[in-house]
This record gives sequence, C-alpha cells and structure tokens, in this order.
Amino acid sequence: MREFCLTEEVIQQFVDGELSKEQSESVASHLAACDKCAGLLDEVEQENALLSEAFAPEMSLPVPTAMLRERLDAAIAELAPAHSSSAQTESAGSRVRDWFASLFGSFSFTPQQAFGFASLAVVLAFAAIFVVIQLRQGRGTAPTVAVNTGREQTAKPSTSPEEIKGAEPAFTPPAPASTPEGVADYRPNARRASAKKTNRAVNIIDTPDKIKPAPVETKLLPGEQGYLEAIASLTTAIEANKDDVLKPAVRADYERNLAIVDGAIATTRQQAKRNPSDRDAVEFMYTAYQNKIDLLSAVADQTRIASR
Amino acid sequence: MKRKALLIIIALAALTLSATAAFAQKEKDKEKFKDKNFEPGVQMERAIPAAQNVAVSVCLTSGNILVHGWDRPEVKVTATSVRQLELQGGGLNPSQRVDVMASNRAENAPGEPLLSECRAITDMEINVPRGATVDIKLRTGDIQISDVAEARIKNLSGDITLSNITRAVEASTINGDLELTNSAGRVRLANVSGDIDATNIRAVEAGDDFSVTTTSGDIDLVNVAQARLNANSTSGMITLTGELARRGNYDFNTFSGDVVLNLPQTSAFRISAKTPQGTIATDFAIKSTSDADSQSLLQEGRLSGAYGSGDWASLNINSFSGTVRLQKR
Repeated sequence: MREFCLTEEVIQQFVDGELSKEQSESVASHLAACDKCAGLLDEVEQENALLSEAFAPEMSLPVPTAMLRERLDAAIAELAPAHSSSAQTESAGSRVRDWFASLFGSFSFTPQQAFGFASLAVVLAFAAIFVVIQLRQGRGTAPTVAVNTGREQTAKPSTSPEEIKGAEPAFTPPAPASTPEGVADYRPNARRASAKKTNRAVNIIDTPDKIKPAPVETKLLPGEQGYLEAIASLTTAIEANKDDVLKPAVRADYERNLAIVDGAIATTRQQAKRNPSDRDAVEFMYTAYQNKIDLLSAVADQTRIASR
Repeated sequence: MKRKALLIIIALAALTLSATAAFAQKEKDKEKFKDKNFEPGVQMERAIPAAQNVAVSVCLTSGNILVHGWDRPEVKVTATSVRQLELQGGGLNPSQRVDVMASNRAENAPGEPLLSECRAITDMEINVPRGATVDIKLRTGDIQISDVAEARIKNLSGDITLSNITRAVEASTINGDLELTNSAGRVRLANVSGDIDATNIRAVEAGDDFSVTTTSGDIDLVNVAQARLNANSTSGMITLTGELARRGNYDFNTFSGDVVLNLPQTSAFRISAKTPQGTIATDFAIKSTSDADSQSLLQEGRLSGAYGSGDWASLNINSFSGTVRLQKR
C-alpha cells in the first residue's frame, strides 16, 4: 500500500508554528496516522533542540556582533595594504581621515555604476522588508505544502483501514446539528482514503473539506448516544485550548493515540453491528468508548490547567 | 576601489537583513510568551517553617522539578531562574500548607503577594518534611519526587519518577514515562503515551488499591502487593510479575495489547480470561470450571478455571485481539 508522507520542510514549518490553523490541523492529523512522519517530527524537534543549544551563545549576542565588525575591518584592511603599512607611522586622526577619504573615494562612480549599486540597494531593502513581513505574519503566508509520494505506509492502528471504513458512520450522530465536530474530524481513515485517490504530489491543506465524508444516516447502537455526547463535549473543551497549550509533538502524539482508540471503537463497533448478539463485541466497544472518554478527560483536564 | 565599495554595500545589506530578522524574531518571541515582562531571572532560595504533614503545592509552566523529603521541619525551595519567589504559608507557624509562588515577571507592585499564575518557567528543587503531601501541576518538564507521604501530580508532557512515597500516589501525564518504586498506599497512575513501570509497591491499609491506565504505553508491574489491582491499556502491553495477593482481585483490560502474567508456581487463583480475536497460552494446568471442552474454549480465546488451592486470587483478563499469556516464574 502506498501512502503520502510529509516533507521535512513541512514538518519544520509545523514545529515552527508557521502553518495556518487549517494547515496545522491537516499536518497533525497526518502525523497521527503515520509513524514514519511522527518519527521525522521527533527528529526535527531533536535537531531544533540541539541547534538551539549549540547556537545559544551566538543568539544571545547583539546584532551586529563585535566579531563581525572585526572581520569587516580586517577584510577592509586587507583590501588596502598600502594604507595599513603606512598607518604605522601616521597618527590615529590621520588614519581615520584617510579611511573616510578612501571610503568616499570608493563611491565616485560612473552614472551607470551608481545606477547599478542603487538598484542593488533597493532590491536588498525590499528583501529586508519581505523578511520582516514573513517573520511577523508567519502563519498567514505559509506556502503550499508539498508531500512526497511512494513511501510505504507504516503506521496504522491494529485494525485495517477497510474495517475502520466500514464503521465510520458510528462517529456521526444522525442529525447534523448534533454532530460533534471534533469527533468527526478524528477519523484518520477518511484522510487516508482521500490521500489514496491521487498518486502525485498534492496540497494536503486543501483536502479537509474534500475529505469530510457526507453525513450518513446511521442507527446508533443502544447506549452509544451517551458516549458520543460526552466525547463531543470533551472534544470541544480540548479544541478550545489545544493549539495554545499542546506543543506540536504532544499534539501529534495525542492525535495518534486518539486514532488508536478510534480504531478500537470502529473495529468493535463493526463486529457488534454485524452480530448484535455478540456480547463480547458490544462489551469491548463500550470499553473502547470509555477508553476514549478517559483519554479525552485526561487531555481536557491537563489543557484546562495549562491554559490558566 | 569599486570592489571595496561593493563589499561595503553587501556588508551593510547583510547587517540590515540580520538586524531586521533579529527584530522580527524578538517580536515573535514576545508574542509567544504573551508577556512583555517575561525575563528569565536569577537563582533564588526561600525557606519557611512547616509542619511534618504540610501540604506543599507548586504550579509552573515549564521546568524540571525535584522534590526530596528530609527530616527538618521546614520547606526550602531553590528556583534556578526567576524574578520573584515566595513561599506563602497562610500565616501559621509552622505552616500547615505552603504554596510555592514563582514568577519570571520583573514588575510587581511592592508588597503585593504573587498570584498563582502557573506561568513561571524555571527548574526547581524543593525540600519538604517526610510527612508532606506534594501537589504539582506542570505543563512541560520532568518531575522527580522521593521520600514524601503523598504525591499528586498533573503533568502535560514530561517524565515522572517517584520513589519512597509512603501513603498515596496520584500521577498523570499525557506524554511521558511514569516510574514508581519502593512505595506504598493507594496508587493511581495514568498517561496517554509513554511506559508505566511500578516496582515493589505495597498496601498500607486494607482498602488501598492500585490503578494504572494508559492508551498506547506499556505497563510493567513487578511485586505489586495491593489486593485490588486494575490495569487498562488500549494498545500497550501489560505485564505483571510477582506473587498474587491472597483473595486479591486483578483486572486487566486491553484492546490489542498483550497481557503477560509471570506468576510463582505456588500461586492460587481463579481465572476468567477472554480474547475473542487473540490467543491464550498458559504454563499452568488450570482446571476448567466450564462445562464446555477446555481445549475448544481455548481455541475460542476463552479460559475459565482455577489453579492451586487455598485463598484464591481472582484474575479477570479481557483483551480483544491481544495474546494472554500465563507464565511460571
């Protein structure tokens, strides 16, 4: 089976918080379903931590650094050996005057040269402004996310996608008004199924709307409604604080575990639906629902504390 | 000369770019912390007289926290990088309750007590009387606690290591390992991912139970003596090694994880195990209590029977697709 994987660039942008909310959710969802990409995320975070540590002394220095000024002086001195050799016999004042004289002498351009340098300066100024805008706006202007193709799928819950697909409607209460948004979004198989439709690079940011399955009228098993309501309520509580509180790696881990529990619910539900007299399947399904509620409760509790 | 001029222009442009990038990054950092007064600060130390059974609470955003029980009737806190540090003892001497308040904010009205904002970022070392109850809330960081009576911890991300807790433990983290050793009393351990290990745990009172829950982590329990034990996992493996408590009640529930029990040959237990889509393997010659043929039941992923004599422990094992294995030590 072939599966798309995120590029390192995209993961780096995800970690840096440079993706829009929708993009970030798409990436988090993919990370939840793909061990390979989750592993890559870990690597990127480790590298970031390593680099931050390594460059901590440099980053704490003012800009420009004294070292840079020294290097510039040295480079200029090398370009004018005659000045430096005669400097030994001259006073400091005359050295400064000479340096400024040589500096201003450097700017005695022909009109063509002046125009060329001016153009270069304008281009650089625009580049500086562009950098500032990019860094300050960050999330709003993230580029299109490209994904690699052709990698083997490695991460999935213990159930096959086909099994999960069969039980999808379990997560969608019949009336659209009562559909718990967060619960519906946690169907990793839906995203995978969408991604499988194309074999070339795709912009996964555009996919969430496309991959949302159409609402399906589904008969819930007895007792399910209560679980779904509790899950919807907890999911809403988590969604309110998730982006502010959960670090990307934790968020991806949370989504991954949610996918595991959803896989368990889907599998047992399919079994229970196929054979309603199978008490084991029904019992395991409710246990899986309870596990999801426990998981959501723990995360909701922690995010509530952390967001204070 | 022209080359020199070009060099100077490029250097100036590089400097401009560096400065603007640094400025933008600084703005970004400010936004990240959402606190213009945020400053890392300096190391500070505070101490306050405290009762033997003092309740100590700490709430931080980020940092590693180390807590040790000691014999002195005093709570002492050392924070590595803060602007303000207060131990609020409620006016009693010795204090029955101590709230550890830390802040990275430089500006605070003179004489105004610090509020519990839970926003400080600092490493912290805390010494408390051995009878203390320690309550920690943390967003990111590792926590180590030893030699106290009770530990209550809620952590969002980070490992929790506990040892020599003498009365009760309640610890949860979303993303991190949990380790509990040489402790006693009522135990509640929970995480979402990360492994949970508990070794040499005993009950203090008859009602003390042991509960452990994870979603994808593995659970490894060695010599856990509580008479009521409950272990839940969705995809992680559950392993129990050691003697069973007489008349103890053991519940193990997983969806796809394995359940492995390493028990002494002299064990006595009744067992009810099922794994509809998994397998059951046992080293023990278990007498079936079912009318049905035991081999066919095993093939269906069911086992119901008893082993040994005396005060049976009760084992209840449920897995949907994992393997259940009973092994002799």
